[in-house]
Amino acid sequence: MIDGYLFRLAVRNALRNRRRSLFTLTSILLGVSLFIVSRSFVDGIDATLIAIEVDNESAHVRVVPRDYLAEEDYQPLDKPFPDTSALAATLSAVAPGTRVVDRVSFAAEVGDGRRILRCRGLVVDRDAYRAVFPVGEMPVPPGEEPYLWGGAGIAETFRWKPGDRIFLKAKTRRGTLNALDAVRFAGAIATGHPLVDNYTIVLPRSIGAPFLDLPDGFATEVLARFPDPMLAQAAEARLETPDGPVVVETWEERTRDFREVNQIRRAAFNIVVGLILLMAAAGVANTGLMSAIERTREIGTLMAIGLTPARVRRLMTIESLVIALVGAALGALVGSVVAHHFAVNGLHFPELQQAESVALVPPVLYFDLRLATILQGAAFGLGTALVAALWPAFRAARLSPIEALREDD
Amino acid sequence: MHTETPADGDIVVRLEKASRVYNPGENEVRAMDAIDLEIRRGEFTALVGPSGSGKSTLLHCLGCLDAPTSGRVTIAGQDVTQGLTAAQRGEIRNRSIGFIFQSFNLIPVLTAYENIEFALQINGTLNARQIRERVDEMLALLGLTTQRDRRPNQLSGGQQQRVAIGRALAKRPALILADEPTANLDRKTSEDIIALMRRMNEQLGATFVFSTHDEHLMGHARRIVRLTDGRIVGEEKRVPAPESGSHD
Repeated sequence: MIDGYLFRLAVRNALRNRRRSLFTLTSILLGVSLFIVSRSFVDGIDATLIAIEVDNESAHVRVVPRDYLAEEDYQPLDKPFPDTSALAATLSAVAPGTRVVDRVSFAAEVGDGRRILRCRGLVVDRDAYRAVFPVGEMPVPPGEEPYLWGGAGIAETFRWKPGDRIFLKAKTRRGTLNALDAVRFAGAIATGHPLVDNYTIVLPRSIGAPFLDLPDGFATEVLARFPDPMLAQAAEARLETPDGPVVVETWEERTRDFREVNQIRRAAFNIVVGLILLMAAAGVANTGLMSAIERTREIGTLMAIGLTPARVRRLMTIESLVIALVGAALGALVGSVVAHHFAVNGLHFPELQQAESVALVPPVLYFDLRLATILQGAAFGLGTALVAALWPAFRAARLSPIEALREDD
Repeated sequence: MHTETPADGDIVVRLEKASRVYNPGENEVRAMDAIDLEIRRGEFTALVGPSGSGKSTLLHCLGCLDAPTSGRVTIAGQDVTQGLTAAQRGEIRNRSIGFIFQSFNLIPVLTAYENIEFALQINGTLNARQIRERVDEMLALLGLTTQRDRRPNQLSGGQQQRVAIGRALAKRPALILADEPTANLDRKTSEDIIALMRRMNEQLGATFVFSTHDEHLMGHARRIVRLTDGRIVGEEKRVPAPESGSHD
C-alpha cells in the first residue's frame, strides 16, 4: 500500500520543477527515439541489401563448380557442372516448396551500332528464373526473331525501347566468336541490384543455347530459393564437402561484407546514442540531486515521521524513474512513428545509385522496425535513468534527519 | 539489560544519565549533560530554557533522531541508546513517536487529508478503510473537514499546524514531540493550537513533550522542565491554565 502512495508522491514531486523534469525527459526521449530510428535504419540497410541480393542475384544459395569459382570473373564456359539435374534434385529435397533454377553466365558485348558495352550475359529458362527471382514481367515478344531482356540501367544508357534491335557478341563454349546483329530488345529488368540493372542482359535458353553452342543441361550456376532462408545452411551441409566438386555460397556468405560494414555503422550510431543517453543520465542525476538538495528539510521530515532510509531511496528513485518512464515511452513512440514512416515509404537516395556502378546501393532504403528494437530502446533509456537515479537516491537516504531538519527552507 | 518494574508501565520515555557531547576533545560541546528524566503516559510537559540550553538536543534524543554519547534512553520500553541502524530508528519513530515542527513541515504536494493519511500509510498498521476513518476523525477533531483537499500553501499557518498535529496524532503514538510549535504563529492562532494540543492530550490521552519560549504555552503545561547548559536545573508540576482557544 505504501509503495502505491510513494508512487503517487513521486509523480507529484516530479511535476514540481516542470522545466527541469522536461529537460531530463526530453534528453531520454531523444536518446530512445534516436536509438530506435538509427537501429531501424541500419537494420533496414541489412534487410534491404539482403533482399536485393537474394531476390535478384544469388537467391538463398548459389552453387558453382569448384574450379569455376577461381575464374568466375572471366565467366568461362568450359567448366560446367558434371550433372546439373542431380544437383537440382538434391536442392529440391532440402524442403518442400524449394525453387531451383540453373543458368549460364557468359561474357557479352552489346551495342547499338555506335556504342558497345561489355556486360554479363545470362542464359536462363524464363519461367524457372522468374520462379526464383521476382524480377517482373520479362515479356516475350511475338514472332520468331531472337530477343533478350536487359537491365534497366543498360536500357537507359542505350535508350532501348521494346522492339529495338541490338547487336550482341560473345565467345561460344568452343571459344569462337559469335554475333547477332538484330536481337530484339524484349524489355527492361529493373531490380535495384546494380549488377543486374547496369551490367546484365538475359537470353532465353532457346536463343542462348544455340548462340553459345551449349548442350542440353549445360549450366555454370545453380540457384535455389527455400521457404525459410535459414535452410541455406542445411543445403550447404548436404552439398559441400572439402575439395568436393561444387562450392555452395549461402546468402549470408554473399552478404557478409556489407553486413560487416553495417556493423561499423551500427557501432557508430550506438556511440552517438550512448552519448545522448549519457547526457540524459547526467540530467537524471542532476534532477535527482537538485531535488534532494532542495528538499533536504522535507526528506528530514519524512524520516522524522518514520520513513526508513530504504523508503526514502525508493521514493527518490521512483521520482527519477517516473520522468524516465514517460521519456522512454514517448521516445519509443516518436522513434517508432519515424521509423515506421520510413519503413513504409522508404528513404530515397536517387543520387547514390550511379549508372555503370556495381556497388550495392539501393535507390530506396526501407527501415526495418522491429519490436525488439523498440523494447531495447526503451529498456536502455530506463536502465540508464535507473543507474543515474541511484546516486542521488542513496545520497538522500544517507541524510541525517537532524541535519536535514536544520536546513533552511 | 534493563528490567522494568511494574510501575514502569506508565513510563513512555526514560533518560538515565544521558549526555550528548559534540566534538569530543578540545572544542567539546556538552549539549546534554547527565540528564535523568522520565516522561509518563498522558503528560503534557514543557521543556523550557534559553537558546543553547539543550532543549532541541533533548527532544532529538527523546524522538530517536539522535542518540546520547553516554547514558541510556528507553522509548516505550525499548533501549534505543546505541547500536541501532538508521532503519531501526526510523521504525521506532514510525511506531512510537509523532513530531510537530515549528515550521509545520507539511509535504507541499499533498493535501491536508493526504498529509495525515501519509503518516498512517507509513505506519502501516491500519487497512485502507481504517485509514480513511481515522483521517476523517482527525480532520473533524482538528476542525479541518472543509479544508481537507487543500494543499499547505492554501492553508493559514494555524491550519497548517493543525494538520501537523493531526499527522503526529493520527497513528496514536506513545509520545508526541513538538519543537516550538507556536513560535511561527500569531498570538490568537497560538492560543488555538495550545488549546488543540491540550484537548488532544485530554481526549486522546496523548503524551506531549514540547520545547517552548512561549510563556502562554508554558502556562498550560502540567509539568515544566527547565534546562540550562544541557542540564536540568529545575522542574515543577502545576495545574494548567484553563483552555481559552477556539477553532479558526
